[in-house]
This record gives sequence, structure tokens and C-alpha cells, in this order.
Amino acid sequence: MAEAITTAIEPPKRFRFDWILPVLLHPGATFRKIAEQTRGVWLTPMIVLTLATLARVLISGSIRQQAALSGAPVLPPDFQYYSPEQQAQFMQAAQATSGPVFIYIFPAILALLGVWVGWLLVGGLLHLVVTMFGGRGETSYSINLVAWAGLPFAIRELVRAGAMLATRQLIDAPGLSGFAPVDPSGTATYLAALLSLVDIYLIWHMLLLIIGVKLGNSLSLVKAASGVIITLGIVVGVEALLAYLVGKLGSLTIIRPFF
Amino acid sequence: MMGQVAVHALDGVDLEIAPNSFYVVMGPSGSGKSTLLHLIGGLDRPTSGSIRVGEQSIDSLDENELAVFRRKTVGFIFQSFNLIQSMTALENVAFPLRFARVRRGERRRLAFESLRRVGLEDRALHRPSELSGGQQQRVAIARSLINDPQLILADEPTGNLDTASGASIMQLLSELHQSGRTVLVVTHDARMTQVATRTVNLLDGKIVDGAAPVEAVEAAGVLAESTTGDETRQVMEARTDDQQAKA
Repeated sequence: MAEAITTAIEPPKRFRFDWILPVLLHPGATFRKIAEQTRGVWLTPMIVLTLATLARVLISGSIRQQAALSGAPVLPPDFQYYSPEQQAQFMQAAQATSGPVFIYIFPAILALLGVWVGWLLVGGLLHLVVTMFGGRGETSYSINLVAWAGLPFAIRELVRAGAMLATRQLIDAPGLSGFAPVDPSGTATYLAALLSLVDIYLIWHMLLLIIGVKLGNSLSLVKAASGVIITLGIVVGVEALLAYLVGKLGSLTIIRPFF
Repeated sequence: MMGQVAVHALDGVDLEIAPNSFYVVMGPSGSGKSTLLHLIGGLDRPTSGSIRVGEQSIDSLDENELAVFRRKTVGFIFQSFNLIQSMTALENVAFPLRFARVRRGERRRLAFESLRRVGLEDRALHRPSELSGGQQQRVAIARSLINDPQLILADEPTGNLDTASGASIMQLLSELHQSGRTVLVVTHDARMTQVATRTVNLLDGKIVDGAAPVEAVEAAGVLAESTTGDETRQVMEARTDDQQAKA
């Protein structure tokens, strides 16, 4: 009896690395465990996601640095129209921004901001939408769920990092962007930005969210799927809009949430 | 703007260029020749007026559409060649294809073919600094041809070359014209008029034709001779009313 009481009041583990594979392989059973938690258990997946993102940033940074050292930075499409003076100025500017601050630190900060802010925004929005569909889950569950369901993005980051490491080339056409028109203009530019965000990992993430929302909110499959699709539709649509607008403004780096 | 004064690089220019013609635009420095070329090629935008190339009105295109227009329709040749010093001749010629989703092997094949057309296949792996001025301009011409454009725009293509190299570039441009392309050359080189189907004289941003304006151009230090070519079909129209180069 004394033993049973001791077990009941044992505080939950801070790190749940033992849930990583089960979330991906047996999401239903694992999400049930997550739903039973009374406190946040999001730290583990967020650490994994953070580390995977940092790995990708480090590898892409090393490729950029190598290109900068060899005098071959990433050139803009209209570079052939630059006069020799403009080309020299561009090269100087590229040299000035080829230090570790611009190649590693700023991209890492932006990527991590995207991961953490994106997680909170998606968690909050998902909870709102699911509640509107009649869900009765806690906010903390939505936050936990979005973190754990984000693990496919960690895999995506690792796959991209591995691909870049193997080819020593940056990935310039992610997702379904290959289906976009070769020379997008107007709304097609937005479509291209949207397609670049859609890949198998996003679909995997969506399926995990649907399973988790259904289990944790006692919703029908249709309502759970509708809530998740609406949430991700809004998030991806807004992110593509941001990418589109930034692309319109120039070749600036964008904050990329973890979708 | 030059201080408080608005300077009109082009003013009231109304020009139609027939397909498969060879136009030479002449005029003194500051007369608006390069501005005209940049407007037609979509590198600048007019503050007013319209520019039409074929069936396309390019003054209404956004930046992305202009980039596509330039890539598909226009081949540019510059006085200072604008070659990328860190790349070989082959890489320079293949550069525009990087952004057209052409595979690397195909890019190299097309670039080599383009270099062969200008007689520089044996210099494919040389960097610009290892080539003469004439050879660099040939590389630039090969690059301008890589997308098989119908319109070639050349801005002082012989300006930095010696007489012999200039003559060979002129010959090359003439061959491009004879192969069915429309060529528009801005130049101070009066020899270019020998291969042109028409010469247009610009002075202070305006087209001047006839005896008096030509005299005015000659007085400004430029020798020019105007010939009239066949303009049966309109393909390009650059009409600028009170036109000013974009800053």
C-alpha cells in the first residue's frame, strides 16, 4: 500500500525521450499518455526540434561559408546585368556578410525563433479552432500535442541536413515548389511560396495532429480533421503570404516557422 | 533628378522597330541612348509612356515578370562585358540557365554550343581575366544567346575594343541579324552603320532625323548617317512622353 502511494505521487519525468519513437510509430497510444499529463511535457520534442534545426543551420552555414571563401557566393538571378562596379560591390558586401555572425548566428536565431514562436502560435490557434468545433481539451494539451506532433519536422531538418552534407549544395526548391510554374509571377508567385511549404512531413504532422486532437478532445474524426486542416491552412497560408511579400520586397531572409 | 532640376533622359521618343532589323542608335554622351536600350530591355522603367515588345506591353510587368521577359526575349551585350570574374567562360555563358531549372549537364552542353557559335569553344575553361577584350565580348555574346532570344540589345559593344576586335564583334552582330534576330545597338562607332538597316540619332533625349538634326549631332562630335529600313511589321514600339529614366 505504501508502495502504491509512493508511485501515485511520483512527479512526472521532465524529459520523455522514451516517447519519441512511440509518437511516430504508435501515435494513438502515446497521445493518450500525453493527454493524461497534468503539466507540460513539450520540452523533449522542442529540444529535439531545436537541435535538428541547429544541425541544418550549421550545415547550410558551412556550405555558404565555403562558397564565400572560394569567392562564389550565392548570386542573384540578374547578376549578369550588374556592371563590373556593381558586381564588385556585391562581392564586397557578400564578403562582409560572410562572417560567422551572418552565416551561423543570425540564421540560427531566426530559425529558432520560427520554431518556438511557431509552436506557440500553432498551439494557441489549434486550441481556439478545436474549441470552436466543440473540443473540451486543455490548452496545455494542445501545446503538448503541437510540440510532439512537430517531430516529423525534426526528421525533415535532419534529412535536409544530410542531403546538404552529402551534396555540398543548398536546397533551393523545397517541398512541392517543383510543381510551381518555372517563371512564377503574380498569384503564381504566391502559389510557388505555398507549394514550397507543402511536403510529406507537413502531411505527417497533420495526421499526428488529427489523431491527437481526436483523442484529447473527444471529437469525431471529421471535426478533429476539420479543426486541424483549418488551423494548418491558416498557418501555411499566412506563412506563404509572408514569404511572398518578403520575396516582393527583395532577397531578404525570412523567419521560417517550423512548418 | 540632378539636384533640384528634373532631367529627362528621354523625351517624347516614338520609335518602332521592325522584326529582323538591325538598328543602330547613335548620339553624343548623355543623349539617352543607353536609357532607351535599358527601357526596351526592361532594365529600367519609364516614368510615363509605353513600351511594347511583340505583343507584350512591358511597362506594366512586375519585377518577376520583367525578369522572365528579359530571360526569354532579350539578350544583353554590355560595353564592359559584365562577365563574372570568378567563373570560367563556360560558367558565365551557362549562368542565365541556372534560374530556368535546366539541369547542370544540359546547361554545360548548351553553354558549350553557344561558345562554339562565337568561336570560343577552346577557351571554355578560361576565366575572363585570361581572355582578351574581344574574346570577353564574344563570351558575353554567347551568354546573351544562351536562351535563344529574338531581340539582341547591345550597349557600346565595341567601346572597349581595339579596331580589329571591334570589327569582328560587328561581324558577329551582323551574323546574328542575318540569322533572323532583331538587333539594336547603341554605339559611338560609326562603322556600325555599315551593317545596320537603320540608324536612329538621339540628341538630348529626342530622336533627330533629317539634315538639320544630323548636323546638330555631327556638331556634337558624332558622325552619323541615317538610312531607312523596311518597317512593314511592327514588333517593337518604344513610346515615351516626357520620359525620364528611373533613378
